[in-house]
Amino acid sequence: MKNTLIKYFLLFLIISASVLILIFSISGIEIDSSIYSLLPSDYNLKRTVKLTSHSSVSDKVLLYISADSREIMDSAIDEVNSFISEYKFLEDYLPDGDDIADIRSYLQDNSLVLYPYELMEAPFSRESIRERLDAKFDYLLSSPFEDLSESFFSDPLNLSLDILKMQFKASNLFSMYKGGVVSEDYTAYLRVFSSGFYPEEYGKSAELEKIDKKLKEINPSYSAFIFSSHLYFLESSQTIQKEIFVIFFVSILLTLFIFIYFFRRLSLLIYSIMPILAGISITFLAVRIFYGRFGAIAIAFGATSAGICIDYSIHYISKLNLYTTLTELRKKIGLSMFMGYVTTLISFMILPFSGINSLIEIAVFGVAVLTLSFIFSWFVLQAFIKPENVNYEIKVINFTGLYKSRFHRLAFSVMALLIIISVVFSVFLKLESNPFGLDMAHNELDKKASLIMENFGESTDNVFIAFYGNTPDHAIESSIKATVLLYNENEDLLFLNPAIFLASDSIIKRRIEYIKTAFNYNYFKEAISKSEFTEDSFYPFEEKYNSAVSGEYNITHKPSYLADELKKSIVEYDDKFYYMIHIGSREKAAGIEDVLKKGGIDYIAVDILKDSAYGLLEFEKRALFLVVFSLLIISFLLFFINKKFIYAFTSVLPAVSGVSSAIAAAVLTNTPINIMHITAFILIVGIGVDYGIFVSNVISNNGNVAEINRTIQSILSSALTTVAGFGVLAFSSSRAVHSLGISMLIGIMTAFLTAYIILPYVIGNKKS
Amino acid sequence: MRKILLIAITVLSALNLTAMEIPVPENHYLFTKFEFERTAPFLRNPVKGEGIIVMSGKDRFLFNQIKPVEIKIIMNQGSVSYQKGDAKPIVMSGMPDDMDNGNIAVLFSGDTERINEFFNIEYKKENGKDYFLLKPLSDNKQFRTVDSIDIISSKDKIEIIKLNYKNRSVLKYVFKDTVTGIMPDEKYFN
Repeated sequence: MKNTLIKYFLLFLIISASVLILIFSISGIEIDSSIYSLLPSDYNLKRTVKLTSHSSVSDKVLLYISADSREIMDSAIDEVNSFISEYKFLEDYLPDGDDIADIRSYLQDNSLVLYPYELMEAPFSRESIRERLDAKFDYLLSSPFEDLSESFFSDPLNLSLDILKMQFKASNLFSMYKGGVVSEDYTAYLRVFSSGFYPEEYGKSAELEKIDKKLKEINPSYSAFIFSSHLYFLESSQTIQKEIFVIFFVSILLTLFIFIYFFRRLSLLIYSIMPILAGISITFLAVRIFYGRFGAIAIAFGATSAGICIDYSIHYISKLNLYTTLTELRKKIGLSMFMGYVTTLISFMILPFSGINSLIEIAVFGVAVLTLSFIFSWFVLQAFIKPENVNYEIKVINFTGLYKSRFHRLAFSVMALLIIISVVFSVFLKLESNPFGLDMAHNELDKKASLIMENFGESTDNVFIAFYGNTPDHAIESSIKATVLLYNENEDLLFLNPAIFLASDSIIKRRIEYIKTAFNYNYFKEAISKSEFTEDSFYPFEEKYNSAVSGEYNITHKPSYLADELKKSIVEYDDKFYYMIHIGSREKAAGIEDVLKKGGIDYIAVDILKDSAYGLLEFEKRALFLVVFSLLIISFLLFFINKKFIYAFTSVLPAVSGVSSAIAAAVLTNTPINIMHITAFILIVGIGVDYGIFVSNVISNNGNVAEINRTIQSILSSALTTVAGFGVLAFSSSRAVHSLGISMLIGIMTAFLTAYIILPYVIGNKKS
Repeated sequence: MRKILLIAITVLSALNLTAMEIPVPENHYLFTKFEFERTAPFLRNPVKGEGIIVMSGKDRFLFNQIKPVEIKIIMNQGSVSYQKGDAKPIVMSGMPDDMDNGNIAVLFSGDTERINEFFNIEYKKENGKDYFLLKPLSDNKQFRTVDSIDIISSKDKIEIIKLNYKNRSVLKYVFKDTVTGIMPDEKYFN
């Protein structure tokens, strides 16, 4: 009695401590739900992810309003803008009136050195100077209220207007209206903000979500919403976090239900969950201490690992009252349990070779949970309940009845045919090349993106051209060379480049050298004498010319708007500086590349879709090879230990059938195989081999009916708990998690059926 | 352009002045012809021209310079456009937006209190005429090149508006055939 109380107390202690450790650990782990953690980490892709996620575009937030009429639109804009102004972190991205005036003055003041002589028509011929002065006078007549400050007189040849026109060609112009842009019929309005933070900062992104919700409630006579990449990241993160909790509880409940059905005693249940809880809680604690931040996919896996870890308890408890002593029990099933643990471990240990963060995390998690659960099961559970002190019966189903009936051959034939068909279908598998195929579907957000594209004609492809150099100036210079090239080859391919307005010192020096030789001061004075302007009208310009020629030219203050935009567009990576220009259209980017390749310009195209596709496909091919390789390693190991080919064959057959059925299901549903499918295949290999080992072992060692029934029952309960743990993932909205769940569901059940129906037939026939 | 509109509105609002307040045309309806002359140290000869100004309600006005170069500046229900000759009009930022910033529509609205935030206004009456002298306040960015604005009117009709710039150039508008209180023809805003 005393011993029983001590046992219960220790059990209570272990379980309570495990729960507390689990709660403490989970609360302190930061979850990373970015799909980038699912992508192979080759250099190019890592660079693309860094450049894209820290570009000047990635912190942009769009405000969109639609209304049926101009009157409603006007009041809608005023109402919404007044509401938005309360959120100080949202700063206008487009330049306001003061910014534009600032830029205009700056361009006029420095037009002499900012004009890109290297690409535009030379403005210094006698005729050109005269024409430009006439145009200046015409401009004065056309602008009765023009600000006739010193800036006006710094640009007699209207060079600043040419610079502006060149950039206007590169942009789609909409009417500037009330801080944003408006469609021609005034039924759609768009305003662009900088948020000052990147999409991975989920805490701050939640504020954007709140704004979006409130916008919907302001006024039913119009529709308004916020749109940005932050909301995509946030939606993925929130969805998967909610689902993790649900998945965790549902999988635990299902596992417990299955357990109670077969074993019928609450005490057995409590003993069985003890190794799982202990294993999972210590693993989460280690994650919190050594990592701090962990991937959502690995956490989701952690939530369902109960389904795998409970196998050790199930296999043990199923055979408890078949033997009289623990020693005898360990002799009978110890090796099988250990081999099952080792083969499952091997399948996890393959994952780090992928180089993918999420899979490495799953491997770390899996190895830790499995090992700890196995240790607790072997040393603690088996100390608590042994054959010596067991006096209960468990529900036993007569599985061997099938083997004695005439239906076994039929069942075998059907099952064998299904396996063969699965293997044949598997040959037609397709691999996933789109990394966003792993994310959940963002239907609402995609609709909003389409609406914006429809009304403002801008493609939202996340494509950049990045000019690089060892210093920011080098990168900027490359971009200016590119602009020159595009202007000469195909103006339609020009992009907006603030660097044109902020030329580097080296470019200005070159221009001054050009001006010294090309600008004819006499022509200029002659043209003025024949114009409507007096001789000394453009004294500020002449002063600038003189200081340029004497090597004392200084650029006047750069407009803060342009300087800020340029700074935000430069990203440092691996000791290089990348000047990111958002192109927004794959078609245009391809056209630009065709031109730039001829020019020997240092640039790269940054397109996360394209950059990940190649690596993703290569990885998936390698990973599938690793799955086959792990099967060979396991087969070899089993053959080495048992010295029998048939034993090795039957041990791996459930795994082979499980994997091929999961692949066939994907082929039939026209689903490309992705990384998470492959993760499932690796798990199916590890678990399927367990089933094969247990059944092959008991039948080839001439196990009696009770032993065979218990073995089949134990692998059935294992299969059901695994399916309960992973099958719920099939309901996740994250396509990555769904792939894992559905593959496990199909693969594990097929592995079980193979172990139950096929193996006894093969081994039995072989023996006879 | 904002500067253009600011000064345009100053001119417009000056067309209906009473006492110390910058007046607003009766019912915000106005039609007037003008001739202008610009003299400047940087010009060999004065620049002369002519045109019309039309207002129809608080948020619609037209400044149409006919000579020497035809331009139209139209404010219509919150948007402002600029058109030279037959070229496509360029639409710019809406007036009510700027009203919040207290510049363009301030003068146009006849809101004396707000106008006084930008100008110091001196007034005198002499020989039956009203004389207004507007001086931009020192922190006024919009009028930084303007030294002062002289406005002369007789009863409710403006006769002259003279913009005196710091660079010693002068832009002088002389108004004639001014009509207020009667809704102008809609054709001017189509």
